[in-house]
Amino acid sequence: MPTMSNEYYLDNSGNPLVGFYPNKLADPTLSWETTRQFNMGWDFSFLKGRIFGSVDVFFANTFDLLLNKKIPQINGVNSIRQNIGKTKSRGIEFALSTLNIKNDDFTWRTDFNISHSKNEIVDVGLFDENRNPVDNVANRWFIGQPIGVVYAYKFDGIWQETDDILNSHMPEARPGDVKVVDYNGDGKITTDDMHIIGRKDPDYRIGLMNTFTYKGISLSFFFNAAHGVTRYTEYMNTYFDGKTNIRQREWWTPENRINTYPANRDDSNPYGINYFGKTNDASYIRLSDISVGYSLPKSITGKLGISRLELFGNVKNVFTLTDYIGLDPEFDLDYGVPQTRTFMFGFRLGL
Amino acid sequence: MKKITHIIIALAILVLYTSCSDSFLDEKAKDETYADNLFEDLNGFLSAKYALLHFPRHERREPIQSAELGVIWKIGTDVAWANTELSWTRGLNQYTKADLTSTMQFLNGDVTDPSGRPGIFLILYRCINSANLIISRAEKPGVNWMGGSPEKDEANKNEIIAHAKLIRGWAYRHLIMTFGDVPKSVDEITGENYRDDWERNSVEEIQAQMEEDFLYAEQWLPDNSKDVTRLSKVIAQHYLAELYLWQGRNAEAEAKAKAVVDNPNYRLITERYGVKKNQPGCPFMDQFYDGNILPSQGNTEALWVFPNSEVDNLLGRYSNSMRRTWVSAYNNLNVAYSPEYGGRGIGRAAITAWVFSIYEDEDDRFSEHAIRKSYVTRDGKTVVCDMDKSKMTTNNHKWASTRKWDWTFDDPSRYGESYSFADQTYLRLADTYLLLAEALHQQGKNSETDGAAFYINEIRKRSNATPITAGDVTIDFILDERARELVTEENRRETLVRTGKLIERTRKYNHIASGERNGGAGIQDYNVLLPFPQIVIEANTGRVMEQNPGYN
Repeated sequence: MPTMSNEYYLDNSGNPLVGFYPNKLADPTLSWETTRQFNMGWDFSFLKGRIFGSVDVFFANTFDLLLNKKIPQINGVNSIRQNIGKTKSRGIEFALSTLNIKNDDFTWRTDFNISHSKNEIVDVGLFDENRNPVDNVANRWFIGQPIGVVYAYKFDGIWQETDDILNSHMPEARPGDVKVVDYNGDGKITTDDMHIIGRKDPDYRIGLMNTFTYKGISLSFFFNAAHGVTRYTEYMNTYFDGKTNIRQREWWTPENRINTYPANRDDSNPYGINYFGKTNDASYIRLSDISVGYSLPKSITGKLGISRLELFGNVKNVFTLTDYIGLDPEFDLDYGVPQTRTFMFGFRLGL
Repeated sequence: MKKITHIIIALAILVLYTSCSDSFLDEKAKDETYADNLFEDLNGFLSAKYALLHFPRHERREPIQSAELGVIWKIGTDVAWANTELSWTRGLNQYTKADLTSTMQFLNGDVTDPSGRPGIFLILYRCINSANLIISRAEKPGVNWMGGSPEKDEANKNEIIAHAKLIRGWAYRHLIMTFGDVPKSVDEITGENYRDDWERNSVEEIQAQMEEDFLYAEQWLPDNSKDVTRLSKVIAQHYLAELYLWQGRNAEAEAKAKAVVDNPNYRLITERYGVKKNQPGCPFMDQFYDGNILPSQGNTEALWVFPNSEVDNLLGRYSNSMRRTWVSAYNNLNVAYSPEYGGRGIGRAAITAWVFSIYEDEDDRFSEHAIRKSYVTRDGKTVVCDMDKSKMTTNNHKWASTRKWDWTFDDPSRYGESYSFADQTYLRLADTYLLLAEALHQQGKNSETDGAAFYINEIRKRSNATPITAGDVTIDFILDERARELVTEENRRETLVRTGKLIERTRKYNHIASGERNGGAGIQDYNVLLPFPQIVIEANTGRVMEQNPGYN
């Protein structure tokens, strides 16, 4: 039975009249998703604990995935939630810790971990005559690809005055317009030139922590990184309504013939390109934590009549290396508070 | 230790054997309104009708972006162009291949966010599905029609179904005139029987469905209605006349149009009336002033009106974007917003120079009451508006504009607010007069006493334009008169498509759409249809749907 939503009308005297219209279709066969997963891990330790770590792998198959499937709008709605399709994922995580130097006074320890996972669609409930699974383009679900792919036209730079535009695959373009890759080589730009230009989930993530201690002082650095993410950002929006928010302020002009961003005209991006290459690559390396600490030695605390005193300092979000121009390479949305750099100092006193 | 092990094993066994069953997921409708709860008695059907009545109001609002939805059928024709162009109006204004594509947002809606703004395709099919649901549930037994007697029950039921069929016909009319062949859907859709293998049914099949729906509505709707929630049969008769003209069934078109024209409850406004009757003005414009628009306020010319309310936060009020779209952005000329100038405009659409050029000077429809021809700035200077073809340039804030949609709040601090909350006339008798003239002309009956010239002259007389003779009547003259009378009101593109004159007249009278102004190719033969939405073609995985020729 369809779910109804409200819509209102008025009567002759201007009083509201409540109305209902069907706005959602419910699949009566909805049920739970099922995942079957196999995990295997190996913990190891060498050189009397100077090197230790673990390797974990997992293989998972999910059936009856709950997805919002886009359906033709003729049905009065544009999607319906259903159990459809199968995906399989596998991943590996490797963690390694090494005590590089271990003396009475000085130690240096490194902890490293890297994880990689791959998710691919097996089928989405559509098959051809030979029972081979078929892509669902409307939803951007492609067999063999992960669920989060970016399917769009590919940016190929900016048309320059020296280009032979009339004989190209975009004869109506003007210098300063966005150039689109003619992916299928048919000499014109159509929706068939859209293809998978990136993924929404990273290829791999890395964490690296180095800790140094010397007598009562400790110092640590923590890096984290992710690689392989392509993400949309509002800050490159070329459209009239979006221009007030953008960060990209360098336009193509005949005097400034850049190849990275179009001219400041409302019609310079006719195919609505949203991904401009490096500026949409949300891979990053971030030094996300530096911590320093000092414990006063017993000789001094004893004299002060306290059991312990520790001083510490901490900086979070020290610097980030990324080409991404959006708010933060770890955030999906460009609205909100960016990650702040935080400085914290304190002490712990034991009486 | 052993005891703990036993407990753990026992718990594990318990969990394994009693994991959730699927019946946990069965739902019983309690709070949300579901179709099954609603369609039990007349009141439920009435509320479904109210929601259905709301759908046509979408045309006058901006569901997509800052211009009334109806501009889709108005610019890029002989009567209108896009003044302050947006990326989505450029394709319709100049017919540039890169902008007029199958992936446009106003056709497809917001495809990244399923709960985002719908495009016209989804708005129209939502409307059709609502109508289908009402019709299929009304025909089920066991509904309490609250009539008190079997005859009254039957009348209540048929009137509900008649409203649903009329509005369903209205939606299909837009679909076939815009996209050509479209899928025909007349049954209730549920989560179990929705389809993804739709085929595009031919225009002829849909026209037959529309005719059946409009004839039913004609039979069961009241003769006239002063109640905005009850539609009158004249609307069905008007659309039947138009449909028959499109199909070349001229005698039948004449009969339907005549039924409306001869209906004593509906008369052209020929005398001053209403809220501004003692101020300078003319009868033609009186019917556009808020307070004069509802039938209960003395409007005898309107066939179909949309009520509105200026009470803030009132449910059921629905802003309309007509004034904002058609009035130029005159505040850029250092002119203050005021009720005299209609309120705030952003000039998304504008009337072409050609329309201004075909009025006689004494025609009321070209008077200062109907067309804004000058402004006075804050410094007291007078700015005269442009009406010449050479001034049809992008962002011309001095371009003359219509005053039909002028409205703003009475409170001076609110003069500059964006939206209008005036009632809206959607269909009026003058349009039917011109359909009747067209039907008579197509049968060679042009006489000034009882043929096409007579009815055209009734329209012209009302506005002090010189009467014409039978020899003046041609299809082009009728189309010209429709422009003079109905500009910015009628869906011009649809009229030109059904008369086969879109390409010819657009090239002749709109030098932007013809490509002349910007040096592009302009309107092409295949632009008679707009592109079929790409998202629908892609989602129809069970069958290949063809795109309209000429589009990617």
